[in-house]
Amino acid sequence: MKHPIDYDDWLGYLDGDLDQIRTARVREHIDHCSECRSTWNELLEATAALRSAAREYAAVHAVCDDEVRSGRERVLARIRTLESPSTLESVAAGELTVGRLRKLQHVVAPVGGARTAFRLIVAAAGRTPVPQGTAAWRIFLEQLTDLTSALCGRSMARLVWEIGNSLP
Amino acid sequence: MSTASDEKERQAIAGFLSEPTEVRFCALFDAFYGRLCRYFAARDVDRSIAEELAENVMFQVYRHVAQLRDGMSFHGWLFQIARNEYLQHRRKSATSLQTVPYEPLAGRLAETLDSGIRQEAEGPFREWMTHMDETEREILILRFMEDLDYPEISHVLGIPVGTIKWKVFNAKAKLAAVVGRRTAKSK
Amino acid sequence: MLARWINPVFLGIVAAASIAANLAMPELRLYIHSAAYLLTGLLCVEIARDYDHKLMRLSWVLFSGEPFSLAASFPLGISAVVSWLGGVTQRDHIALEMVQLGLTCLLAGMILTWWQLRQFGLGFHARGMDWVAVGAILTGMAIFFGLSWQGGWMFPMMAGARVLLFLAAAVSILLNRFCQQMGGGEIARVIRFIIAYVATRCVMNLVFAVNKTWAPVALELEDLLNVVFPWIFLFGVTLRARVAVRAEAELARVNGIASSI
Repeated sequence: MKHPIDYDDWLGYLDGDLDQIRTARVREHIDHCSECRSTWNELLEATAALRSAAREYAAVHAVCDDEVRSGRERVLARIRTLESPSTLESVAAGELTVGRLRKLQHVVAPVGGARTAFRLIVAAAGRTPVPQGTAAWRIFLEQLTDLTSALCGRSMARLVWEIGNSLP
Repeated sequence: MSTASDEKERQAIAGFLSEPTEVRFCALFDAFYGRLCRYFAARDVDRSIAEELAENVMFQVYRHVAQLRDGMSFHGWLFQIARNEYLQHRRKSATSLQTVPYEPLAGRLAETLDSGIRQEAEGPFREWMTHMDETEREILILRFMEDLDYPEISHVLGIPVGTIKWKVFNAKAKLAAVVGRRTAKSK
Repeated sequence: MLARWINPVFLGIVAAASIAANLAMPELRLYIHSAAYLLTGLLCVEIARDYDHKLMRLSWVLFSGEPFSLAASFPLGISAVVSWLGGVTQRDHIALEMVQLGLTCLLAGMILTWWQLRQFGLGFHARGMDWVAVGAILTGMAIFFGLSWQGGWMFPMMAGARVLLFLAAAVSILLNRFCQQMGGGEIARVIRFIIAYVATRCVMNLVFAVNKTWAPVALELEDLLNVVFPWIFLFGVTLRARVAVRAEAELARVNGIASSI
């Protein structure tokens, strides 16, 4: 017998996401096909079991209010350091290692000033998305280069870019 | 997931996106921290590390909320960050030398006993996940534990929706066999 | 690149020599100063070309307006042509207009620089005391003008230039604060040279307004400031132009190392 139901239909029917026509087609076929009826029952049982098991697992790994509170305090402390960062360590994350940031700071500082160089790095790090491999470093360099270009000129920006790309 | 907690999450998200202040962030943190800890625990991460990773994720959310583009799902974005944190943690664990701190035996025994009790209480979920491949496991956790829809899961994993659905179907079929065997045994 | 050929040390020696020559042979002054202003203007344009950021580029183009207008107001410049066409009075009038135009450009450049540094979001901000100092300068300006008019010291045609200088001095207070907040660096040094240039001209104008019969030393001080102030701007601008030269040299070195690996 031909089975006109594909995986998309099965999942849609299970989740109740199918339109009326497709729902009717699936229901009609299940009514007339014992093989698909068996598949449907298995899928239904598996889905229910999975949902129940996931809920059971989630209940065991729930966090209590104290844990939430202490977690929140720790993150807020980090955020407050971020809002007024005083060191490169508080800015460094993922591909933006302290060593790399320090090297770039030393490149910009003689021209822009030590404090400006730090703030440029903080500003560029703030505009960098979540570290995802080497993409984060490239994006950080682009942001830093843009800021350096605006403050110190194109030549310095190009230098920052080249040195940033050459860092290990 | 209950409707009340859905509503709490929705309000927390809307509040933080409209006004990314510390106060709004606290509400968002309270709404999602538990879910993130649970997500990492399901990825076989130690509880203390799961909490640390969850904190990292929420910190990144605070820092980079401006990158959440219009129309992008918050849940999809959040769990994308979580997944990246997990992958980064896994990479670091694979390369660094693991040291075990000295602890009094009683403490270790208590911890082992505690984790044993927890494993028993967890139910069959962890055992069923061992029958799945990495991607299927990830998808099932996001779909059935975290209640993400297919487009959100697609955003998290960077896989087309069609592929996600195919994998879910396959995973359920595998699970059907496992559940069927389990039912037969218990009878 | 013009800046490649200018070494600040060499420039210092030339400046010292020309100051000495100016004091000894005042007739040389105008020609040497014309050359210094022309060079300053050209370097400002070169610096402007180093910026992609439109408003920072504009601020340096505006800065170039000051030395170019001063060069134009000198015997070798536009005023020489005007003098030939319309006589000495016309020449003096045009020269004064050029000076005022230059100061307007300088003031606009300073305001734009201050505004842009604020907009960068790098934490540059003026403090309460800075605004008090600005207020004091503006009040001082009002008092100065009041006394000048009353005492009959003020030539009305010079009033415009003096107002612009006072305003530039007020903006200097704000820019100086930003220089402090930068924590050193060439950019801060350059801005301070511009501030020093403005301050020197302000002092010069105040000294010029003083009745020389009461204080003959004012005449000598005025003369000294007159020969010194063009070099202040040129120094500052040279430092900034050399930043681009050094950056390019370093870039060549980095690329050379990278290609040899």
